[in-house]
Amino acid sequence: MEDSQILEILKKSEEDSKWVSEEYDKLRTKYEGKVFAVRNKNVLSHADTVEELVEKLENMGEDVGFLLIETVPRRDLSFIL
Amino acid sequence: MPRIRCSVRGFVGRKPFPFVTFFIRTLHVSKPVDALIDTGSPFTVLSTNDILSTRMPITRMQSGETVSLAGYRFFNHPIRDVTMNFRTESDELFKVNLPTIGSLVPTKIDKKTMDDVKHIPSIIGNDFLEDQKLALYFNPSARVVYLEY
Repeated sequence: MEDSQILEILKKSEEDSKWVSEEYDKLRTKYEGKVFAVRNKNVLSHADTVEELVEKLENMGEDVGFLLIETVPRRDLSFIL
Repeated sequence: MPRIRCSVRGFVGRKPFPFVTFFIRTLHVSKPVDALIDTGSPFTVLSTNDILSTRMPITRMQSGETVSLAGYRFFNHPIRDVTMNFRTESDELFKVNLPTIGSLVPTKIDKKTMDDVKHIPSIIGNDFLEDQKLALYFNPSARVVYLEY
């Protein structure tokens, strides 16, 4: 894979990541406790587990290697990392 | 000094945390990863979710040293020959080649554990910042964050 391709993927992924950060509260309302894939500032698909999500995405013909996979923890779940 | 742009996310309890996006490449895996920058972590690790999304067989990765994180125990399973790519503010790649990177494989694989650990993100730890001579600037109230090298 060429550096220019990696840069392009990173640029899009960063934009999607920023979108997730900015829309986190809205996403929590809709996808609390779920796993979801993001592309072009949209939730492409969601599921309860990452295995289910990967299967859904593959059935949709998506290449998971180019997608950001995100989660929104339940409101009652906290971590001290 | 060159910078890597990061983002601030209200990850847990709506408190702001610094995140960075990188593209990881190994022999079998290529994918973008969002990671929490955690200066309190001695390890840099890929999350259970990020491993599972590559269809790596975690049940066959339950070996090696164990680490405790967020109340759960994990094998810190090494993934070999890794390149981590970050995008700088000047639109160049900051590439890091590592002989191994750890991955969080739960010692106990059951529904409840997997349902909780899926929310633990990949982590850029203190080891990575030190080895790559990166400094973290994080101003949570102003929502400003970047890595500088």
